[in-house]
Amino acid sequence: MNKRYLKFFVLGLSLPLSACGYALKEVYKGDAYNSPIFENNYYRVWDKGLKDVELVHEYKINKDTYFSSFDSEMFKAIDQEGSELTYEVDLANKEHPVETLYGQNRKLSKYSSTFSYGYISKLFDGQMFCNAHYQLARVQIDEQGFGRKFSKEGKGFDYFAINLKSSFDYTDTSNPAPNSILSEVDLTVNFYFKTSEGNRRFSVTMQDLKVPTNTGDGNRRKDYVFAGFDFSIINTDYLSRVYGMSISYKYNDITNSDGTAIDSTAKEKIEELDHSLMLYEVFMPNTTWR
Amino acid sequence: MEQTGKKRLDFSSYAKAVGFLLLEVLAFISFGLGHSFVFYSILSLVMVALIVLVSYRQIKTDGLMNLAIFLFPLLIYGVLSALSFFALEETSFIFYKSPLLIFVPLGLASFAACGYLAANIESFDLKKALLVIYGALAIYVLINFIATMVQFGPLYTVRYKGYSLYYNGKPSPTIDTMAYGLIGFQFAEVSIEYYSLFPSVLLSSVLAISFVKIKEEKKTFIAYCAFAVLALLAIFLAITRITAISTVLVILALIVIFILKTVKLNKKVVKYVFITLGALVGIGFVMFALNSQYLYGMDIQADGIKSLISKFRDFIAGNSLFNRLFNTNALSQRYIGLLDGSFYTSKAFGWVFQEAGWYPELGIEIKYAIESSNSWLFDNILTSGIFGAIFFIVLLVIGYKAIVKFMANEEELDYTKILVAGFVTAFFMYSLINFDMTPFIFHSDIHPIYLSGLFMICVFLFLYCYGRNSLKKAEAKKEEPKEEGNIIEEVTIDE
Repeated sequence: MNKRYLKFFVLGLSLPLSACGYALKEVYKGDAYNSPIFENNYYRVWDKGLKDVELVHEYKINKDTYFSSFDSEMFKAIDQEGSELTYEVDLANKEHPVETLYGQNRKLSKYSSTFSYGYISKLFDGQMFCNAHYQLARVQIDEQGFGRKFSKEGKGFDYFAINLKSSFDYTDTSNPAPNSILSEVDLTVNFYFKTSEGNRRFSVTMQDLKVPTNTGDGNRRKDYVFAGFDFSIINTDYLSRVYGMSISYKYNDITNSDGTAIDSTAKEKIEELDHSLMLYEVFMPNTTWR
Repeated sequence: MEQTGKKRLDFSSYAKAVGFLLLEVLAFISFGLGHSFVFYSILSLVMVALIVLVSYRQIKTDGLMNLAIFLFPLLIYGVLSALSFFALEETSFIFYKSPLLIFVPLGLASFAACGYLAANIESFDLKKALLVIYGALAIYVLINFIATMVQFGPLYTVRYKGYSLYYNGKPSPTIDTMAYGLIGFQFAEVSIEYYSLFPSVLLSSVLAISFVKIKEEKKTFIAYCAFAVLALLAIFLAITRITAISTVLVILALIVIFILKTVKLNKKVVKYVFITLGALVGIGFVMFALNSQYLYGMDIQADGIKSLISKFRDFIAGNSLFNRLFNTNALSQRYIGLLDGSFYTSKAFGWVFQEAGWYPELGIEIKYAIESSNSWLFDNILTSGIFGAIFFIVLLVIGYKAIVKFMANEEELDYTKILVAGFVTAFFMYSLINFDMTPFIFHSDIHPIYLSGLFMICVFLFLYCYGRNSLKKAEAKKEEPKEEGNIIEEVTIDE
C-alpha cells in the first residue's frame, strides 16, 4: 500500500516539474521594439512554417472592391451598425465614452480573450490611434512584414479592416521627412487555413492604397487610413479553420497629400530614409473563434 | 395515567446529516470557489438554521450570551466595512455600492455562529473537519501549482526575473510577480502573493506530523505529510524574495506554536512574555502612526498638537535606528500613506485608492495615489476605517484567547488542537505582509480580507474553540460537588 502511494505521489509530482512553460514562448525584457534606432523597431516575427505554406489563390483588389475610409458608402454597406459608431473625433474637441467607439466595440479581443496576449495584441486591443502612446499602440513593419499564428481557429468571417498610417525614419534629424505626404503601397494580407490535404493560404492585396505618411498625427484622424474588404469576395472553402495571418506590403511611390507629384530631388532625398507602415488595429468582426 | 400533551419537535436525529453538510460547506470554502462570498454567506445562513434545529436542546442560554460577546466585535467590523467610504466610493471594489454589502456583516456573523454551534453537535468531529479543510485546500493548491508550472515552468521566478509578457498591447508586470490560479471556474494570471497564500497556510499541516499516532491513524499521517510536501513544493518552485520572507515568518510562527505545545513552560512566564511583546508592538505602532502624520488638511487651530507631532517626527528622523525602522525601508512608505490622516479626517471611515485634496493653508492641490500595503493590519484602515481596524484586532485577541484555552483542553486530540492554532496563525502571519487585495494581474478588482474564504475558516475555528471552551465550562459547573448544609444538631429517631 505504501509503495502505491509513493508511486502515485512521484508520478503526480513529475507533471508540474516537467512542465513546459507554455506562456513563456513570447517574453520580452521591458518594452519591446522601442529603440531610438528606427531600424530596430521593425516587427519581423514569422511563426514557424508560415513562410512555406502553399498559396492557393491570390486576390488582387482595387478601390472598387476595398474601402479606404470609415465614412465610405462601401463600409457603411458592409457594417451599417459599426459605421454609426464613433471612429474617434479629434481628442481636442470631444471625449467619447467607450461604448460609442468603433475600436472598442469591434476589437478582436472582444471575440476571444486569446487575442489579448502577445506582442501583436496591440492590433487587437481597440486602440486605433496613437493618442501619444507611440510604440505602445502600434506595430511597425517593413515590406517583409510579419506572420503569426492565432491561438484559436476562425470561421464565419464577415469583413477585414485595418487602421494604419505610414512613416519614414523620423530619428534621422539631419534629413527630416516632411509631414503630410502620401505613400502608395500594395498592402497584402495572407490568411492561413487548414485543409484535409494540409495547410494552405490565400492572399488579398489592396492595390495602390494611399496611406498618410507623417512623423506624428497631431491628433488628426485624417492622418490615418481605415481600409478593408468584405470576405464575401473570398471562396468560402478558404474561410473555415483559419489559423494564422501575415501582413506585408510593397512600397510604390510617395506623393503630396493632394495627390500631386513631389519634386524629384526632394523625393530622392526622402526615399533615402527607411520606410515603414505603422499598424494600429486589425478588425475581423463577427468571426467565430474556437 | 395517560400521557397527554403536544408532541415535542425533535430534529436531533438529523444531527449527523447536518454535521456532514457542515463539512461540505467547509470544503467548498477552503477550496476557494472564486471569491464567492455571497454564496458562502448564504450557505452559512442555511447552516446556522439547520444547526440550531438539530442542537437547540443542547445549546445553553448562557452559552448564547458567550456567543454574543464574540459576535459583537465581528458584527461591528462587518458593518463598518460595509458602510465605509471604501465600500461606497471605490469603484474597483467588487461590491462597490452594491446591496450585497449586507452579506458582509451577515455572512461573517452567521459563519461564526456555525463555528460556535458546531461545538454542540456530537457528530461534528473536528478531526474530520480539519482533514476536509486541509484536503480541499490541498486540492486548490495542487491545481494552482500545476497550472502555474504548465504556464511558466519550475523556478520561473528566478529564470525569467525581469521579463514581461504582452497583454492588451502593453508589457505586463514582470513574470516573477505573477502566477496562475483558479478563480471560480476559470484560470487567470494572479499575483505571486495571492498564489503563495494558500500553500503557506497549507504548510501548517506539518505540525500534525509530530502528533498524529502513526500506528493508529496511518492514512491521516500520510495525508498531512503529503499536504506539507505539496505546500513546500508549491512555494519553492515559485519563490520570490517577498514570498520567501513571508514563508520564513510563517515557519517561525509554527515553530513557536510547536514549542509552546511540547515544551513545559511556566504559564505565567509565557503570559508575561506575550503581554510584553504585545505592549512593545503596540507602542511601536503608536509611534509609527504618529510619525506618519504629515498633517495636511489638519484643523489649523490645533497648533499645539501639530507642533508636538512635528517635534516627534523630527526626533524619529534624527535617530538612525528609528529612521530606518519607520521611514526609509520599503514597507514603511506604504504604511505611512495609509496612516496619514486616518485618525482625524473622514478617512477614519475608510479611503479610496486615489485621493485628491485641496489644502488651502498650503495653497496647493495635492493628488496622491494610495496603494494597498498587502498587510491586514494597515489595509483594514483603508477598507474598514480606523475603527473597523480596531475591532478587527479585538476579534483576533478574543479569538486567540479562545484558541489558547482550547489547547489546554485535555479532552481534545493533540494534533487537532495544534492544527487549529497552526492554520489560523499561518493565515494571519502570512497576511501580515502579503495579503494581496488585488489578486488579478490584468484586472483591478479589489477583494478585501473579509471576503476571503480562508478568513471565514479562521473565524469558524475561533468560534468553534470558543464554543468548546464554553461547553467545557458549563460541564465543569455541573459536576461541581454541592456544598453540604451545616449540621446544627444530630437527632436519633426511635422506631
